[in-house]
Amino acid sequence: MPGAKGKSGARKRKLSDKAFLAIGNRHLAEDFPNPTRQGCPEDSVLKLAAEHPAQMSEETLNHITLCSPCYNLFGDFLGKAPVKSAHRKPTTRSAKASQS
Amino acid sequence: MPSMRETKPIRPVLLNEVDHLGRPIAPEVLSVAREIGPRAVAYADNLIGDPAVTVTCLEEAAASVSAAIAEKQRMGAPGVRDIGAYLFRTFIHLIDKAKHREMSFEDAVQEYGETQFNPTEQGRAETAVLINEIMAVCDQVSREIILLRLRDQSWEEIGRHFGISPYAAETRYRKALDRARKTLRIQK
Repeated sequence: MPGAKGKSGARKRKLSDKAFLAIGNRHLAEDFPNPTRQGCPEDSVLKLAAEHPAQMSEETLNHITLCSPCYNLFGDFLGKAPVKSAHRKPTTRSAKASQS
Repeated sequence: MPSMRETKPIRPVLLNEVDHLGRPIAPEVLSVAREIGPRAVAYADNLIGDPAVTVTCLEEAAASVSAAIAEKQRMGAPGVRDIGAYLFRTFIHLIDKAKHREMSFEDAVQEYGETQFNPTEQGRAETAVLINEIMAVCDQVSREIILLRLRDQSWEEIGRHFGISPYAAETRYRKALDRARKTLRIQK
């Protein structure tokens, strides 16, 4: 981010993946408060984005990463959303057996 | 966006063409800053409650973004896709810093206690910078994959969402992080 500076003289280490995910999640979940929910999409839009992330519009994606309430709500919906295959259904043994 | 919530009327924000450090703000960035100004200042007012500080931070953010864009052009680095989002993140980062400067002694002691179990300020700043860069330079699918990963989705789940293998999802994630890190190194 322009204007951001680390502590002078401190030897910089690459953030571990686990730390990046933990801190990044907290950053997006807390650092963009929007108490009046200005410009937020309806909950149904966030729910749809959580159910089908691959079909999310760029506008919704940009908003989620700039609004902590929407980011948290998206996360809640994501937790509840069943993961559906984008291309094909996974073939199970029972399905194979019924086909043959 | 398909349907929006009702928004409150907000007042326009007057911005100078230079920040308080005398650094110029590029016309295209100034135009975006004036556009997002009312919303950004309304955001920040709730956090620090001083309109003068928030406007100063917005001007400082706009000048920093102008310098960053000029530097990217000079170095041949990928351009900023969404100046508004880039500017807004930089502004929020500065507001966060201003908020910490104004913390009372008691708050500072309490936060020190919390940092014994939480990430350091440097770690938070580095992550914020990296996420901002990812959102500015990476393609939509990569950003979506990173968003899902941040929300603790497994590679298998992410792969199923996008119709790709878990390995491909992880590779895309790593490439996006590496690309953002590389761009940041070029800027430094």
